[in-house]
Amino acid sequence: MREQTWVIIGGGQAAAVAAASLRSAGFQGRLVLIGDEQHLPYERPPLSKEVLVKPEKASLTIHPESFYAENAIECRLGVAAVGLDAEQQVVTLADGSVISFDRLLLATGARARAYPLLDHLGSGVHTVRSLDDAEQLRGHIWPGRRVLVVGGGVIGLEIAASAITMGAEVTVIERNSRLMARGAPQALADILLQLHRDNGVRFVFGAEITEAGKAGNGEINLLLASGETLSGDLVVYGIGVELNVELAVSAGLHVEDGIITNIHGQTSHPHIYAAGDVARQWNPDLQACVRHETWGNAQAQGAAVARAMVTGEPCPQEVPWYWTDQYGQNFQIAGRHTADEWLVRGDRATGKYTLLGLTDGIVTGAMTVNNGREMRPAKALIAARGRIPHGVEICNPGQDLRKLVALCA
Amino acid sequence: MEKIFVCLTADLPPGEARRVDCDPAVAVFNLDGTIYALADRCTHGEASMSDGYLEDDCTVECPVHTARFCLRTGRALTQPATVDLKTFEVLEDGDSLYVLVPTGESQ
Repeated sequence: MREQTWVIIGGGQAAAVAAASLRSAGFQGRLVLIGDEQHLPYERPPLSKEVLVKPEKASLTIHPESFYAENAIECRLGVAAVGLDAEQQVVTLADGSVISFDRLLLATGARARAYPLLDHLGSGVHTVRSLDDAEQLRGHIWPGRRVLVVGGGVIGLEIAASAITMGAEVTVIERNSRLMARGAPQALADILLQLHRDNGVRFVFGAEITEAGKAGNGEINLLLASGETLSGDLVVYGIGVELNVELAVSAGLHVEDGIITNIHGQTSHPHIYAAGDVARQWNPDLQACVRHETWGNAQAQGAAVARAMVTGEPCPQEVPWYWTDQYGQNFQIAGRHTADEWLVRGDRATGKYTLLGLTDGIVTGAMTVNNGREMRPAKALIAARGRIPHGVEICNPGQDLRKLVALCA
Repeated sequence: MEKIFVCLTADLPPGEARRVDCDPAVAVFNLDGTIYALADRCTHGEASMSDGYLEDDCTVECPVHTARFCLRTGRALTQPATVDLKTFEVLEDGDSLYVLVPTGESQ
């Protein structure tokens, strides 16, 4: 029998994990990983943190270089896939080479959403999505620099915390009236706002930037609809992502806020799969296709879809989960971001506690503050749609949450 | 080697962990009756492995970023960790548990 060729397009977390998982699940044919960055697949979470603040301690590689050779994973790096013919099952690369595939995994991820109003300023305007972006930004932040951060989401806040740690003066400019409007409970937004203010970050909420200009000395001025002008030495913006769906669209795959897949990670073409930020996978519990832009999802779904490609097994459904590290503190969020009420487990004054979100008496969300040890039982509680029985003191931190979970499932 | 008291053996039942505040801090685990000791600070980030999750396959998962380490060897098994955890020798003496920490060991 002819040897099968399976191709992965993408060089991020989902792609790297999928490559390893295809091998561990038993795929023995030719395996090609195509990434448009020059680097071997690396971890992105440190880009807004360690890579800026303590680059000598940042460890980024997902697998060591030797891993790819040992597992016969052919890496085509620094070359983008520019064409996909689903019917002929052929990928075309930017250097003109073509690769025929038996199966394809699209793990093309996303790129920083562009902000043309700022981009036209040229130098002095940054985004952080790739290692090259982060290393470039690092060279522009030093004590006393005035950094304007546009966007009060996870990326904006992590960059604000890093810039403050590096001695810069930081202003965060947010269009909404609160932080992390898209991705976090109000309770977390409140905690983070206070934490950043305590560390000297200035915030401007409800801010609509109407004009952006650069003076002869390089100073950047942002004019707001309110009439206020904010001046800084550089701007970093994080306003969400644009999905890298162009190949999928050109190949005629079903794309609708992401590449639509079934529970096996299969797209509308049976030999083409998708995973990670770019994929919107069917979730039978929610009776909907859902997409997550998190490390946890890239990791879990990359592995699960790879296994599904080999075994045909459906992907297990994970409780959505992410973390953010700011000023040395760790925040983890799982499940739904809204709830009827949030129960506090532990003493908030200690800076180490858990919040459990209840909706109709069922635990639907959780948040840990410097208390990661309780995240896994909290996720188990969410997955089990746990109802807290009478007499179970879920908020008593003296009682081990891991044991309480067994009583609630 | 310095012999440092952990706790009474009876105070570390299976599935439990203890942190010993020596320098460097040590995490001591009881997995189904076998005691293991590893460096407490995750090699990836600011996290205490004694708060981690014990797995039946003789591993412990970091509570902060979910890196997994082998309890026996300290080996870093999954991302984001790539550096192994140090292991320490455990000693049961009478009704108490001790770890042996090399003298002069520092961060």
